[in-house]
Amino acid sequence: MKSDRVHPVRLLDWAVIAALLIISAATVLFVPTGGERRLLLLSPGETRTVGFEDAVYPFPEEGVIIEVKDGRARFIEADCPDQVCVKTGWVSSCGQAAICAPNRVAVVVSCEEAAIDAIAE
Amino acid sequence: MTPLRNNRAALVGVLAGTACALGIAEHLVALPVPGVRLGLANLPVLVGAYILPPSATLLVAFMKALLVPLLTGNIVIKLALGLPATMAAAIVMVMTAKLSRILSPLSAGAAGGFTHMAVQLVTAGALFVQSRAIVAIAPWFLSIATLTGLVTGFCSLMLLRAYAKVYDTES
Repeated sequence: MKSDRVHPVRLLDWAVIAALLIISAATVLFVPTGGERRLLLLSPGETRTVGFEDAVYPFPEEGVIIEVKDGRARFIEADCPDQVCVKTGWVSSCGQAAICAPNRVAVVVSCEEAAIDAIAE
Repeated sequence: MTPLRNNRAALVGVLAGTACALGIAEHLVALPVPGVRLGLANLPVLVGAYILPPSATLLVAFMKALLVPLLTGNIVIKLALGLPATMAAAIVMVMTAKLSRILSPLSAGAAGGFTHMAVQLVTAGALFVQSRAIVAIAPWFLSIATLTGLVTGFCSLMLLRAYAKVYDTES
């Protein structure tokens, strides 16, 4: 018997493989976008949790101003020397943060994200 | 098939042993993404699906799912995640093997890989990670699993052709 007649690759195989790949890719539709993101505004006195509604949060004592706009947040002003926080620009995705260390203010994007690495071994 | 009918127990042992060896070898190969394996350990199960009766194939899968975690550590999590996935994949591969008139082992491998990953994600979601992160990685992991399954399918296709050459049978 000629061996490549055993288990010949059929046309339907490619259809099945293509279908599986399409199903795999289609699960992307179930990925929820945004929703449960929160902003943590950290300052020496308090920690505030706010949403992503457009707003401006001044911190007069610390000398910084944080702006939230279009689902993103940034420092618009800080009286610190290096302006690292302002240069950080917009933060919007999970875990991103802009920090003004000298004035001890930070804005952190917090999500309900469980640590995948805990079980991934 | 005939020459092996009397050696079925031996063949189950050989395949399960090969699966364990591959599973351990695979454990040593670090892949960039955690949780992703090449799936080579499913190769003997896939070959078994074509040359063994279904119950014996499932036995091979069961032994592999039981022994590889035992030998590589982190038993509880690996068993909880791997056993249902391996068994589901084995069942899918056995069913695909039954359709060998219209589908080749390529499909069986791809479907097996896909099933394995799908069940694993569902189990992980149910037991460990209550998070949308599972959904976020699903498209990537499922695609990768399908492709590595395809590789496994191709390997077993070659093995089965070689097997047919040796035994000159219509399996």
